[in-house]
Amino acid sequence: MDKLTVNNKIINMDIDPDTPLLWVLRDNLGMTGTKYACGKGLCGACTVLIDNKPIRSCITPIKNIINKRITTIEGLPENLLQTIEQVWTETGASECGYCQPGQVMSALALIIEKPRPTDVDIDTAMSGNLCRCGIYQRIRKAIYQLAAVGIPENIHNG
Amino acid sequence: MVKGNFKVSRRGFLKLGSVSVAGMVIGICLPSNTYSKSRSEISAFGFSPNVWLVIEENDQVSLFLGKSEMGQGVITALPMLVAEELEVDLARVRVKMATSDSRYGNQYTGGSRSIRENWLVLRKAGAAGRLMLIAAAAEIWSVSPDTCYAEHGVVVHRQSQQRLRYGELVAIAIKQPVPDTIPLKPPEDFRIIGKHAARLDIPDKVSGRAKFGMDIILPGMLIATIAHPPIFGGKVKSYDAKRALSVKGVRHVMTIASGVVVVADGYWQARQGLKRLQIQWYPGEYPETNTASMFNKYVELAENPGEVVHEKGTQSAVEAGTTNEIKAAYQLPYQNHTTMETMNCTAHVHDNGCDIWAPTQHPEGARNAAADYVYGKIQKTLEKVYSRFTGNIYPNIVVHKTYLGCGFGRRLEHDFVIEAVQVSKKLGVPIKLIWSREEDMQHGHYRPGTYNKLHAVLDKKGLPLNWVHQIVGPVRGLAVDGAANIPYSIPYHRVESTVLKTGIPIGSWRSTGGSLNTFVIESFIDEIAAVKNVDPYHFRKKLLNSKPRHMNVLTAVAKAARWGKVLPENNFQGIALYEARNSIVAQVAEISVSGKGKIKIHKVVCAIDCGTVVNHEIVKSQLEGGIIFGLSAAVKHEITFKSGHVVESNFDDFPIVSMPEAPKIEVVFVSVERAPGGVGEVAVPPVAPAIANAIFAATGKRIRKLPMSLQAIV
Ligand code: FES
Ligand code: FES
Repeated sequence: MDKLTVNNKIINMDIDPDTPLLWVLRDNLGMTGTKYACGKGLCGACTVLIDNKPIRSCITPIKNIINKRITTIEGLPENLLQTIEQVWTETGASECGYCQPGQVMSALALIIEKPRPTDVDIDTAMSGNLCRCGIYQRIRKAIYQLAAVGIPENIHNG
Repeated sequence: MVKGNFKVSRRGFLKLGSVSVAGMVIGICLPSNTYSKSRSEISAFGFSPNVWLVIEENDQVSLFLGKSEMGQGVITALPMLVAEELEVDLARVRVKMATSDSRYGNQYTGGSRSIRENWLVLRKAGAAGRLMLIAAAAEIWSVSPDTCYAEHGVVVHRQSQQRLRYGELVAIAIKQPVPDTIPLKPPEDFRIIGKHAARLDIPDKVSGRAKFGMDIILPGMLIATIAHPPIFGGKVKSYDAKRALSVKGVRHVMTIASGVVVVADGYWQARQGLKRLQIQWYPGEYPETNTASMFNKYVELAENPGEVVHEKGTQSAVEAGTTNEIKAAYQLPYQNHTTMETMNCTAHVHDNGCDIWAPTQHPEGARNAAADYVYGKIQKTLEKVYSRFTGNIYPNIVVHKTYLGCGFGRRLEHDFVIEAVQVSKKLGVPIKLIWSREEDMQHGHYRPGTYNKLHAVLDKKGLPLNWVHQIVGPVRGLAVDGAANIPYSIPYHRVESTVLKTGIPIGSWRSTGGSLNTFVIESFIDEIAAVKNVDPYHFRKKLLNSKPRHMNVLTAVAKAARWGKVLPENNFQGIALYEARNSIVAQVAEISVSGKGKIKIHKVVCAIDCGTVVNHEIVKSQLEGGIIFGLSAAVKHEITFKSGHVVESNFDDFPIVSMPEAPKIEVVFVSVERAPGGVGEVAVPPVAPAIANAIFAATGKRIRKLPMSLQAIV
């Protein structure tokens, strides 16, 4: 049988295959770290990683990602999460915080691909992650700092 | 015991609704403010504290306070005020989100007021606690309290260096009398206020653990979504419920006062159901509303004088040879808040009342609005009488606060709350009602769009003698707000208002009228400066002789931005000034124009005098965010109308500034020792005029209509 694997756990549920991953995470699995803000791939709040690439879960039906490795904010290893919390706290890179799990996932994908990102790399990778609180300057700083600290090779729990 | 508006009580136990803690409880009566609907709720019962500070035996200090955390940082900044005077480390103090219980006092979170309201009272509460703990230790040691002091949550006897932790003293401290006079620290002794303190809410937020309204999950909960009539004030005519119910997971379809609701096991299913309904609507009262014709009508109405809402000074006549005159007209669009988290609310109406989980800026208002739907007429009357008798308003309707994914004034409204309550009342189960982004965009409470006619008479030197500003908009209050607030000395100033009813819902939008009228005022003053070719910064200074604080802020921003110094080739600057919420802000925008006339915004420098700064990083962050918010509205988005409905629907046609588009922002503090001013809104209004003025400096083209295009400006 085809399987949906979220954070290394196999999900056995009878779910309409057209359902976007975002709503499976939030409503079926009760994992609310991944956020809804536009539902059309326009804002990045719902970003998760599939095989280390950022995708917008609000426009990704689960039938397209069967047997792929899905990582949500909840699936990050504890030590990585702690580093992120510390870096974001030091740079004050959150106001309301609603966009932040999405920002973090996009930032991780960037750093996996480019461990030493430049301003242009950050602009390119993060342009789809909107922050209505408008604290981009801080998010940029947090990304530089996280890259400087470094992230583990394997960012998946277990 | 009563010092002005400040009163303190103490007890050994706090029991309010679901909260019950033992320890030293200090109840403080926070004065209500002009916005508060609950003024009578507080004053009718004499001394009834509404902020609670609890010191437990394990040394934990909790602050039960009603303000909502929407990104402005109250969860961090308010404990700093308490910790400073109580002499505990900040890490020991936590804000506990209060419920809507009226005994928690005024919870309205808007108008950049949270620090301003709490600046004195929370410090006095902390100081009262410290004095009582010291008195307790002195009693134990049989020494005079004067020989003791407190530091880091411990009372120390100076001579013997004996020490007792606050937790150890709690039981005796509650028996101490509340001090009559409560002296506060002089600012030079501050060790927390104005010093670095990291935001306390960030770890939970970046890790996805923080619970926003959207994230509430209750046992047995169903998820609902709604379609509102596309034309404001419209009504449901018909729909095909069967088509929706055939979607797997869809449970109910119903009509409520404000639209059609589909209830399902999950949001996606509810959405699919809603799409299939084929709803037909009766139009509302203004089915013709159309942006172009509305603004044409504004222009037409401006032909006749409006009602005078502000007039000061004596008018000079225009005289040939001695005076000059200048006229201009500015047009500002409607705007939506577009909070990152769309409107949503979880409600459970049950036999004992109702529990509500809502990202709201106004929990008491939400509670009162919900009562209309929770109770029938007779029961509501009974509840009201009971409330009056006990001083506790609708105690069985409890609004639990969640984190707010932005506020900006949108969450002062209760439309989304009463909808969830109605659905839960009908079905008897917990309901989480979620608005799609499209509904959120098209059923907002918009910042009004206005048309502004300006007329100034200038003396021979080009200084303004008369300033007449006529504003046409859909309402009076929010359209004229801030227009009378010109810092410059001008001998005659008049503001007129003309209202065109449109049926469009209007609401408070971060900085209220400031974002409208500052664009007008700060653009027009630039136009006046240009008449005699005077540098706009120096021109403003000439008119600020009686305003030293404004002068300081303006000078500070010019200095930091290197105004008048050599800039990189093709770079130009514009300046703007603004005052509100007891803060003064000035900004310089630096832009460049490419050969093809494309504008790039490089940098915004922002100087602020906001009095004492409690937490510099939070203030900076609010100013940075305010500038980006103002920038988005200046150059990217607007709300328009066609055939009675809103055209824009999502971030594609209502785009906001993204990371690559965000200019660099520099913040400069002009430090002044006085009570803090508000900072949540004040950075928004000056951005648009600063950029427009820079574009004028670069191209000679005056921007008089927002949003402005950054393409091919020449
Ligand atoms: S919610 Fe998915 S991109 Fe906006
Ligand atoms: S922190 Fe509020 S939307 Fe980004």
